[in-house]
Amino acid sequence: MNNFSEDKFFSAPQWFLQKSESTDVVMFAEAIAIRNVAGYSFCLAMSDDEREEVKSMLVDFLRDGDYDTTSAKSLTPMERMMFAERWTISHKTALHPGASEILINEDESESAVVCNIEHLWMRTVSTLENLSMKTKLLLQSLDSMELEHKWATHPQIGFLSPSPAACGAGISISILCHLPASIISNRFARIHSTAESYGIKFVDPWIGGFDMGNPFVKFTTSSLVGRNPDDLLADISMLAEEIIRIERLAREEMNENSIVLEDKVMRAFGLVSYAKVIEMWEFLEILSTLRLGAVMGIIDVPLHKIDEMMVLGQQAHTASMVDDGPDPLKIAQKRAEMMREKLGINEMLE
Amino acid sequence: MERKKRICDVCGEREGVITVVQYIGGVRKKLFVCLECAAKVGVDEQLADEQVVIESAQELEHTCPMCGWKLKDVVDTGMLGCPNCYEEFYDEVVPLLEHFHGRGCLKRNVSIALRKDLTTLQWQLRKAVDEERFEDAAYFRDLIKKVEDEIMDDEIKSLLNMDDDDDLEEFMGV
Ligand SMILES: [Zn+2]
Ligand SMILES: [Zn+2]
Repeated sequence: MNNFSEDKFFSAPQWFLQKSESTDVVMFAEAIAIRNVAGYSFCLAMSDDEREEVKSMLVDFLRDGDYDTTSAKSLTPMERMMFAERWTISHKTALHPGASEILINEDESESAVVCNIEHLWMRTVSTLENLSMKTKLLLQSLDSMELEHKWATHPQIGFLSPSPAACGAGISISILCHLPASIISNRFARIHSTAESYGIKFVDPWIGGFDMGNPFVKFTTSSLVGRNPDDLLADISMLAEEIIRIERLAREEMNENSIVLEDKVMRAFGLVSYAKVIEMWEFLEILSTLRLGAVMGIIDVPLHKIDEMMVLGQQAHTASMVDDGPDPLKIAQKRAEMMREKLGINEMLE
Repeated sequence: MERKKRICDVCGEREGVITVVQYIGGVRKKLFVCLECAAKVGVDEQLADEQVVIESAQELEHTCPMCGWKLKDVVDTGMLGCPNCYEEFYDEVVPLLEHFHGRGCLKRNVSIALRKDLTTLQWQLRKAVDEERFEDAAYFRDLIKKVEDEIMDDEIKSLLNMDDDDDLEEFMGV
């Protein structure tokens, strides 16, 4: 059964638009837990019968919560990609859903995938300020599940996953940061080495690879064996504090030479105002500059509208709004139109 | 021990830090690359640079009795088949774990040495029930109970910081 209305994809997830004291730099925080049921093979090696058994016990439990359930198969590839662009499921699950079940709560701040790579992949997102509370809730629900099914663990390794990289604490914590000033002022190397000292790696916010120039950077705890969730939360909080400090300092410095910053922002504003097509490669760069401009009070566009575009301007979201097939040029054209409309630039220009 | 620096296979300039696996024309190829090039070639399938050299075809056929996963499958997919694979291929998996989580990560955990037994026993119990070997099932059920009790003792002990069984017995009033 597919419970998702297509309207969902015409706006960004509500949780993503919520703002807190730190969202000028840390856009959101996320905890992803993985669990595998003891006594069963992992997904790749399991028989169909085993899979059905594991699936039904986990899905039955989760369905008691606030989730809508759908089998991955009932989603179109385009819908799966859109969920990946909204951080609801991983890029990997979107590309290779297999026979998994996907569960998503009303505002998409919580989701779970059953029997994809892990028996259970569960995610919660929030502002940085609420991360610790939301993580504890996630762990509590996993503990209550364990009353029925023991999770697979190993005395030295911790929670087990088919992938050695995911073993250990059974959870990983991430933050998505917006670091335009740190990157322009060459402070990123410092942030990088601080992250490294905590066993935290940085990845592209969507695909998970590395992209050096991207001002939107996701930091993820990657050293998980021999660690517990509290360690990881503490590491991320300390790193976030340091990142916020460095980025705000860099922004202040840029502001001292305000004509350069203003010029940069107004050029980006001019580009969105008049461009007929905006391609994917330039899209995030423009958006980042506008976001910086909005945070610094240079342009009068609400932050949540810019952040909304960050989701709607992604390839699958924009493609889904183009009527006659996924023609790259039409998608880029739609993106340009949508940015003008959503950011309220049309009215400003009148 | 200081590792020897190796140059990136792709750009030939920067220092390589990571081994990625690529399928080029259907052939599986390992590349040792820098972070920048890793971004270009993709890091979907990371392997440790300390990746164990598998010596013989026979070794590759080493099979986990619980799930039927072979060492060959571990090498091909970078994934394991079941919890027991971590015991079965322990020597091969340790370098991977250390690559991802840092050297010495396995020594960080001073934990419940019994959980593994429990996982295996639960497995055996389930198989026995599935195959209607009820006597075996009863046997495993008893063992599980015992191990669970031991884990409980262990947790209480670590909670109270008692090393001695006598202390525990005294505490429990036995
Ligand atoms: Zn290179
Ligand atoms: Zn196995």
